[in-house]
Amino acid sequence: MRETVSDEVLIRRIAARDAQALEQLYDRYERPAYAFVFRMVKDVMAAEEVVQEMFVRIWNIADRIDTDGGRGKVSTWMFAVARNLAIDWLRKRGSKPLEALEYDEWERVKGQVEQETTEHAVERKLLGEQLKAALEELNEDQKQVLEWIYYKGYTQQEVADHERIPLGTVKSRVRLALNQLRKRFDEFVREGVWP
Amino acid sequence: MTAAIESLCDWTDLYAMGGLTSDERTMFEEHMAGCKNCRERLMAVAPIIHALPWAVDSIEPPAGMKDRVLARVLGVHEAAEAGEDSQLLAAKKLTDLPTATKLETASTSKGIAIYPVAARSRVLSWFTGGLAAAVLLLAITSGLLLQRVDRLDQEREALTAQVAEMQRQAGEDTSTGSPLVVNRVINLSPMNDLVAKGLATIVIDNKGMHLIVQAEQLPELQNEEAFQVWLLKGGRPVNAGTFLTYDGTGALYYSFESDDFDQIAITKEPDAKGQTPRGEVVLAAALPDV
Ligand SMILES: [Zn+2]
Repeated sequence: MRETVSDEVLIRRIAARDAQALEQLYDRYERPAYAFVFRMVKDVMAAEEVVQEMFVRIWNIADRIDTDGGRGKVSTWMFAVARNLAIDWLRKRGSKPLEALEYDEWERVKGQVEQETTEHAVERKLLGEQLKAALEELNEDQKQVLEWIYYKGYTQQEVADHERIPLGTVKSRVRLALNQLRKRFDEFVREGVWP
Repeated sequence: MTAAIESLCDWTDLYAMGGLTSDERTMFEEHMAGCKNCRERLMAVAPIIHALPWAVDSIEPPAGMKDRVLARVLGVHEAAEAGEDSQLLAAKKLTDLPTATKLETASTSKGIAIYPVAARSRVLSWFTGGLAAAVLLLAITSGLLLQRVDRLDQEREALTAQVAEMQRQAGEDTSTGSPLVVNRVINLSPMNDLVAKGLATIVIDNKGMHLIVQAEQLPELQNEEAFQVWLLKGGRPVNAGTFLTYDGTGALYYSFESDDFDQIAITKEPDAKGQTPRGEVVLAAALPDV
């Protein structure tokens, strides 16, 4: 069986300025990161810029990332940074440098990720496929609110203003959407779709 | 429970999804530290949010993206390490770089996506594989990224404008040190019926002037041969360094005191040790006054 180096080990090696470790991490996440960012920015050139910037941030901050304490945090963090960069691109906040606040994001992710049972990209991708199907089952209002908030980076107030709905309605749509996704999620786990 | 607290508890899902402003986020994090319900809800929904990036359609990344991204990331790294050192870098960096062979491959392959110089407010990457190696040098001063030399004729003005925009951004970015001003971008013309192409960029910062030379389709080098760059003033050459090529593509970076050179030339030399030109000129251009 081929042994896979964990993301955490790669981050430690990147912190020690190991360019090959960077390349390994790149190979592992090029496709998922690019697909995710493209889903947000819907622009080939911008998606590459954002993914590139994500790796610049990883390279620069790797030595501050404490990787002991469970798997799954690094990839979650990487996607959170990518999402912040993509939102910055979408909003084109003037010409100031992108603020991904990658270390803040790391602190946040650390507290939210428990030891994950899915360590491999292929398993995560499988889970992603299931989740994609579950997203399709949401009603239009719920889809819309996820689109605005998660993929476009709008705040609750901006969504309320844009959709001309009360803030409370924004919140309840989000809650209902997440409840439904959570229910489907638990079913995947029970059905063993997700190892 | 007060109304205010109740509404903060309602923020958990938005917090998990990244839908709060930074102020709201701080308020919520303070609240959550003392609210078990919110922490539990967060742990229940976080796995879903964290799986969302995987719930997207697959899409093929653009050709050559890996080389561009790694060159950029590692170039930034070199910039941080290089510090004041602004001697000849091209040949050395190419051999040092772990991905050197891949860069070489990229430089030979055709059909690599060439990004058009579109009117964009932020241009970060629009060079191509043909000059992928050169980006390492460019990153040393500014992260300045170039495009194929042969597209430059039509788009030189756009390039100059974008370079100016990038230097403005670089000037605002504290991580890149002192502001850079692009002084000149010059096309180098081939001599003696050669097909070679070249581009010279001169940038200025508070340490002086910096010349970045890139060339492609250069004639093959034999034995000890090397290309040498000269800056000339009234016909008198000053050695700006030598460089080697990979598959006909090479680059050089040279720092100098402000001076009014009127010409630039690249010669093919029998070795890299000469202080005056001995070989034939392969590329040259006048340096117009600014
Ligand atoms: Zn609460």
